[in-house]
Order: sequence, then C-alpha cells, then structure tokens
Amino acid sequence: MATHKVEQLIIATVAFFWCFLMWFSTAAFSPSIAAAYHLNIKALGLLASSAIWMAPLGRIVAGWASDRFGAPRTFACILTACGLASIASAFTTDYTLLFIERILVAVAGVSFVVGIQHVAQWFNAEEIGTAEGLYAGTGNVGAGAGALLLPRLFGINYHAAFLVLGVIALFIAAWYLWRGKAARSVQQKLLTRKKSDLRGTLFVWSRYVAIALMLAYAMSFGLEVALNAWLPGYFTRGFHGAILALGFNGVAGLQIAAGTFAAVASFTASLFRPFSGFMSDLFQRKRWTPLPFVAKTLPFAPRLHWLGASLILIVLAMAGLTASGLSGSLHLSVAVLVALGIFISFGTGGTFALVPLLFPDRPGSAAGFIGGLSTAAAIVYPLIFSGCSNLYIGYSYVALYMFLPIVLFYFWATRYERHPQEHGILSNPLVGEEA
Amino acid sequence: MQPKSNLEGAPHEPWYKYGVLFLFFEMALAIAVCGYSLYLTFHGLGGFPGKH
Repeated sequence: MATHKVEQLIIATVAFFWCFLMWFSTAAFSPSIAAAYHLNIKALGLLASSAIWMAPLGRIVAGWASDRFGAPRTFACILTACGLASIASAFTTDYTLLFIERILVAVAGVSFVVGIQHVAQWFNAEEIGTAEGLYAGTGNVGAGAGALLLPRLFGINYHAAFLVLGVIALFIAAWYLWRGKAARSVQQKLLTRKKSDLRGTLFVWSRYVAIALMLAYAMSFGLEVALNAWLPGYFTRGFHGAILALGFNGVAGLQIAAGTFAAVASFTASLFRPFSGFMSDLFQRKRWTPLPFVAKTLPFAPRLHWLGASLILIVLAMAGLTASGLSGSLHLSVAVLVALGIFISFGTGGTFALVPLLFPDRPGSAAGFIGGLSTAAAIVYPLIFSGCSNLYIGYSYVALYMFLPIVLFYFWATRYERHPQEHGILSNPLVGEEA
Repeated sequence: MQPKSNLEGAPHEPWYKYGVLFLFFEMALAIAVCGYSLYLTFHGLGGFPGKH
C-alpha cells in the first residue's frame, strides 16, 4: 500500500482530535447530566475529575503497546473501545452505569502518546518538532472544540452527542487500520518491537534525561491541565470586585467572565504548541545554544536549549502571576496569563520535539513515561495554590520550590556532551544496554 | 544508542512549508479568538464564544 508521511500525520491528528473531543465531551454536558440525575456539587466534581484518572497509567501502557503492536492497531483499539463505551452511555439511564461508561470513554485521553510514537516513526530529525507540534497542538484543539461546539450542536441532548461521537470513532478506527502504517520501513518497525521489552522500558524510566523531560512536561502540560481546573475559581475569588465593575452580575455573570479569562490560557497553550515545535526545528537549523551548562555539541543540543529557555520563561511567568495578582490589576493578570499560556506551549512542544530523538528505538515507551506520569502533577498544583494563606502567592511557591529545582535538574541532566541516554539510576547492563 | 542525525542545513521537503503555514494559521486563530473574547469580557458584553 503506497502512502506518504503526511497522510500518516493527518490520520494520527484526526484520530487524536476525535479522542480529545470524546475525552472532554462529558465535561461539555456536565450541566445537562447534573440536571438529569439531580447531582450535587460533590458528585459533579467527581464526574469532572474522573476524566484524568486513567491518564498516568493508561499512557504508560499505551506507549508500550504502540512500540509492541504498532500505532495503527493500538489507536484502533482505543478508538473502538471508547467508541463502543460512548455508544453504550448514550442509552444508559442509570447514573452509576453512566459514570463507569464515561470513565471508559476517558481512556481516549491516553491516545496522545500513541500518535507521538506514530509520527516519530515517520518523520526525519530536522522536521520532527514541527510534525509533532502539528499533531499534538491540532489534536489538543479537540478539547476546546468540544466545549464550544457540542452544546451548540446538541443542546441538552447529550444522549445523541455521545451516540454520534461513538459511531464516528468506530469509522476513524477502521480508517486508521486501513490506511495507517506503523513505520516507514519494516526494519524500523521490527527494531522498535524488539526494544519494547521490560528491560527496555526500565532503561527509559531510569535515564536522568528522561526523568528531566518528564518533569519538564509536568511543569508545562501538568500545569496547563491544573490551570484549566483552577483558574475560574481563582478569578472569581481573587478579582470579584474587578469583575463586578466590568458589568457582570450574579453567579452566572462571574462564571462567564472568570471562564473566559481561564479559557484564553488554555487556548493559547494548545494553539501555540505547533509554533514551539517549529521554533525547536529553527534552533536546530541555526545551531542556537545560548544557555550555560546545557550540552552544546550533541546533534540535538539546540533543541535542549529551546526547552531549557521555555522552562525558565514558565518560572518567570509564574512569579509574574503572583506579582500581578498582588498588584490587584485584573488586566495585568490576564496579560501575564496569556504569556504563561504561550510559555506552557513552548514547554510542551519543546519536550516532544526531543523525545523521539533521545529514544529513537523506543519512542512509545518514552512518550508513555514522559507524557503519562507527568499528568499526575495536575492534581498537586491546585492543592498548593489553594493551600496558601494568600490566594496570589501559590504561583510563586510552586515556581520557587518545585519549578526551580526541576529547571536545575534539567540543566544537570542535559550537561553531557556525549550520549546523555547512557546516564541513569540503573547501570546499563542491568537494563539490557551496552555501554 | 545513537540518535538520528540533525541534518543541519538540509533543505526541507515540500510538505514542510504547508505545515508551517498551517501552524501560523493556528496561532492567528488563537490570537483572534482570545482578542475577541477578552474584548467582549473587558467591555462587559459577554465571554468566551459559546458562553454568552
């Protein structure tokens, strides 16, 4: 079957977009579901948080499976399982069963790492940043598109929405199996499969550079997910008076204004992500290596510098968010938040422009580890933000006590001028690698 | 393990310019939607599209 890498990129992106649409479709209809089943605020919170439950472990398994069985088969399995669960949930009238089925649909969120692996198997080193950025950034838009479009298209009829989403997922699964090809050569596919054993997975997990990238992703994507949940409440409480002064009244008005300020961070973080991949490619082509300590002679060293610079910008923006909050300026806080959203996208795009180059024989396992474990950070940040005595100071606490040590660890782990993958917690022979 | 070469200075394949065009379109879309929704909100007219 003749194919082209752009076709593979389009298949992976469409499938990922649809998975993210399904992943967040529960949230889009949560007011309708709450009204239908008379849910209280705690039950609604539980339903909202259930979307993230499957991500950390599920992504690790999905990453390994894509190395082992190929991305088309793995992605088709995810789409089919989630599609069938979505169809079943459309006909369910019992809330407990609906809750379980929607958790199964939330498995769609693990698909991210499968597409990362698929794109990595097709694109060359000099264009991998843009390719992965286009895949991840465009696919991420599925979450926002769901929130914007689904309630408009289906109103309060979430049954019909879940049915349509599930049926289309089955068609995309068939398309993926029909046109998707795991790698550009049989040799590469077999090599990746061979390296996907337990020792290979342990190898990735124990590398300092993989841990540094996982923490970098926790600092960027983990923060993005955390801010989605945290920011509406932050603006409602932190800028109550300023929002009322804009002309918004009552709970509904506050929700609209606070939701808008929160949404701009999420929107920029998603849609600037491909640009970050492009910048990583540009750093690579121009051989820009501005940071101290970080390796300068590695083949992919400029990409390490782009990610390092992005992480520093995130730290500064977090401090800026505290400063603008303490100043009491709503306009300044929103401006800093837009900047933070863009810097987060630099971090997410910069991380996955590196993963396939650092672990070319195990892109799925590496993507699963880095993209999976890091999502757990999304649970931690809001707890710190809300645990501080001052509402505005939490961002600086996180920046100072969590992000700054991560940045320092990143600088330390990326200082090797030769084979940074060879340095890790476990010795190379123990994890099946020759020194 | 040896990573793939960086191929510094190698000419891009034809698809690349369309990919870059698309990513700039996405950035423009993000700026337009954010600008529009923030304009509405700061003037007390509504919020993010879909939440008026």
